[in-house]
Amino acid sequence: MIEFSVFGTHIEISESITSMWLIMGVLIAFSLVVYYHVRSGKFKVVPESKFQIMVEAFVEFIYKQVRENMGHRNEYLAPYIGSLGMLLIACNMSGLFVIPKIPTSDYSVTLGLAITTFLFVQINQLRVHKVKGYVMELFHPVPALFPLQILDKFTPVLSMSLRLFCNIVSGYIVMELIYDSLKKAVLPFLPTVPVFQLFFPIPLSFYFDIFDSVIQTVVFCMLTMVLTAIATEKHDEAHIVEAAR
Amino acid sequence: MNPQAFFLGMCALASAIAILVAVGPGIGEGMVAAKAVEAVGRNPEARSEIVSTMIVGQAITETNSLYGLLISLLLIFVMAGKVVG
Repeated sequence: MIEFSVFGTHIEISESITSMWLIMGVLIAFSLVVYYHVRSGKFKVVPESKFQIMVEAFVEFIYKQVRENMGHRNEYLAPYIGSLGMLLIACNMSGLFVIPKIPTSDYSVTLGLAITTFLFVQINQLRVHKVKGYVMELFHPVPALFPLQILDKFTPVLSMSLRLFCNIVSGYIVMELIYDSLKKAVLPFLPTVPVFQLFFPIPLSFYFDIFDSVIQTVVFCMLTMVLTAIATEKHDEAHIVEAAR
Repeated sequence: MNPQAFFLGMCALASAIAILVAVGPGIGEGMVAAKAVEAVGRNPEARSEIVSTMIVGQAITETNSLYGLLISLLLIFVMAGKVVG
């Protein structure tokens, strides 16, 4: 917790935010390394090094998912999905490394991510349909369903933030309980060394720290992509011709 | 009766009832897995796509049981923690 006072106001920066700065620092350093490799010509047109093949495979994977889920015309939105995916995987798996607090185990962080996705979807819908189309969409099937359509915009925020938060927090609590209970189990000739903490938590840690993190990242990104695809769908004849192509 | 003991007992009871909501998604996800196994049996070549779709679908359904888990954990660690100190 970093606390300081500036101009008479007391500002507190929580541990989730400082942990997130650490993760962002690592990701930005990695991006700068890749940027240096591209700029200085170390990445050739025909790839030679394993590093280049890995990076290109990752970028192509993201673009392929965006093209499949959001359509060809939305391909320019792939950088947001890629950044979101990298940040979420790094944040969720940071429990395996030394970090003050897992960022996504704080509801404020996951709510912030869900609100960012909400703004992303609404801004893209406004960009495609313009304000008139956006408002007409609210009265679309039947004007009496207007409150439900308004609610339909906010429920993904709640469900996405709670899904990510609950999965990560429950995994963290279960692992803490397991380590805590294994602390009591000691061998008779090594009375103070919790030897059983060495091996038994491994499969559970594999599920909670690695598998669950990847699945939650995939689900969060896929929901972002599907919500954007539904929001930016065009309802005219040209769309049917384009989809057939 | 000691009001603190009553409050703690009710917190524990409510926490146990809150986790019962996991029955619904548990049955639902089991049925999804059954259908996925059936589909793989019919078309073994599409196995990885079927399994990925199943995992993503189950992760989204899982949210409903996690709402119950959240209430359960909040009752034990936050409400009871406030009283016990």
